[in-house]
Amino acid sequence: MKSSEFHIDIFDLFAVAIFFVVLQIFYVSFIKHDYYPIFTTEEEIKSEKDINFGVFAEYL
Amino acid sequence: MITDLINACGWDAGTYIFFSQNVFSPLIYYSHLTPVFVSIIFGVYIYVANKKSLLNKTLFFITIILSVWLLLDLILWATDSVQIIEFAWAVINLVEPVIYAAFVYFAAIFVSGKDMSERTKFLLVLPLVPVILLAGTHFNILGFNLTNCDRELVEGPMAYYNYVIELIYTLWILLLGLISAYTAKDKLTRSHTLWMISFILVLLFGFASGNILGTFSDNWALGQFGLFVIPVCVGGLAYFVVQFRFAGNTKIAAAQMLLIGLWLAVGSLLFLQNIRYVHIIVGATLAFLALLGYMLLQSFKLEVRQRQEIEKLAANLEVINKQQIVLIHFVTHQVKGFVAKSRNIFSMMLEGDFGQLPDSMKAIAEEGFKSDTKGVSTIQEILNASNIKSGKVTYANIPVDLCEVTKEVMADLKPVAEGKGLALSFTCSDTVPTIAGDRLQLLNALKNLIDNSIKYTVKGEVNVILEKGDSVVRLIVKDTGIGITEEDMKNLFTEGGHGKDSQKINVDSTGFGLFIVKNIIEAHHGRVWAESPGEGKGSRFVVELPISATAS
Repeated sequence: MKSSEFHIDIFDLFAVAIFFVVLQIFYVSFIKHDYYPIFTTEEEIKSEKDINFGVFAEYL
Repeated sequence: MITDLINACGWDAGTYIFFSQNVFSPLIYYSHLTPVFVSIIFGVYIYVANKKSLLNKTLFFITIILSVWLLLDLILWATDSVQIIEFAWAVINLVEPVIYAAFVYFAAIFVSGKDMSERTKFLLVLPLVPVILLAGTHFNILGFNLTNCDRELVEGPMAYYNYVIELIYTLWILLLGLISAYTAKDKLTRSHTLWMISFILVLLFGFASGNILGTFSDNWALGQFGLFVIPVCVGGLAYFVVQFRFAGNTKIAAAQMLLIGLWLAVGSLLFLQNIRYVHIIVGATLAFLALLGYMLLQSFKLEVRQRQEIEKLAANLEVINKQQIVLIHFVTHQVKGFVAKSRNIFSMMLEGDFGQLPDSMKAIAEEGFKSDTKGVSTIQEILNASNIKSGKVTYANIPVDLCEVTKEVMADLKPVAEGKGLALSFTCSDTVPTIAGDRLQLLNALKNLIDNSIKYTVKGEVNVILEKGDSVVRLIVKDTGIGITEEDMKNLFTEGGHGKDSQKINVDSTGFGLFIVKNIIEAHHGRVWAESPGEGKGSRFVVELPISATAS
């Protein structure tokens, strides 16, 4: 292949990033078992949502 | 305790990850697997049709990620594993906005016919950066909801962010479509752009309906019916890609797609036992087939219209062509008369018919004579080619001594060769018999052939050999000229066929010389061909005339 034919564009970088994110999701789902909590009451869900959405709003 | 709660839900472990009692209705298989099969078949079809086309590659990529999304969604419905649900749900939230972005890219290439600029690509990808950063965190998935047995996750704010950017991408596609349709150069392009944009928007709406309804109403089953539009729209998009962007046979494409759709839709009925679902599936199939059938009909109509137009144009072209041939024949004939007259005047001047010319005038008269001689010869060549082409030439059928004819040609051309400093030789075997044919036409053919070699030889020699072969008389003209490239060889004996660099050597070439040779030789049931080791390595022309030949 000629060097001029080798070209990385933003989509290639993006594809690599997605690959690593999928690996990350795989890790938190199957290996780090306690990453996602299991909610047994509506109160737990509401409280976690409030905290999480609050942090997100702060970032924004 | 958590394990007890999960066990209490009594979820089915299922088989092969997809098949279980957890699926609320067998319809889910139809709404998910049919789009997967149809999308992949259309995607591969489009990709194989033109692997180099960016548009085709993009549609193929879209069909792949759509299929990934659909399979992950089906797993979500079927599985009893908390981990698999967490993984599939999180990846779905990652993949979904990418599908929208891919459709924007597809629509942009479709309407513009070219790739996006790097800046626009950056703008397209920018909203996806937070998705990539947050997909593996609690901003995407907060946790597993075990307050009921619905096997659902609690989504974080990223799910809502996704809906915002999906809406932006949808508006982007809508704007692209509207602007392109508004600025389209004709009605047909406008109509097709609107069709294409409609397919994308309906597909995205159907695709999103499940998730949007699920997130806001907690009824995840309701939106599954929207997925039925995916195979219809992917089929429609594939059809438009075929029709517009690689000039394939749209009728065949539409027929093939119709067949694939019919096969899949009817085939899937075999897997359903509940008559209630059959109604829904038959309804969806009917809609799918009605759309593709309509397209097939449209492409038939288009083809018939185009064929009628082509036939009309061809008839007009034939009349114009005939008129032009008559005109060219008339003009060349008239011009030949004027030039021949002028040449005769120069000839008479040089021979002293108008008294002794001064030296300065003599040089000009000689130049005029040479130029007019060349002019007459060029016009004669064009007239001969025109007569041959229109079938006006009739051939005599008398015994011809080719050795004598070739000698006459050699005598004619000797001064020309000598003027260029070329050695011209002729060898005639004693065994060469006479053949039956038209002496004048054969003389004309041989003169054109040998003259051609002289013209395209800058230095060296031209050797002519006449010999007897097995039931043929063979004439070989061998030169040390510019040679013939493989590319030029294809056009060598065609009407007006010039070599790539031939006019650098022979500026006056009409390109009809070898065309005339071929036609005259073939009229005598013979054949002519050229051989050359390549550019600059000389050429060898061979004519073979059957001994028993009679001209026709």
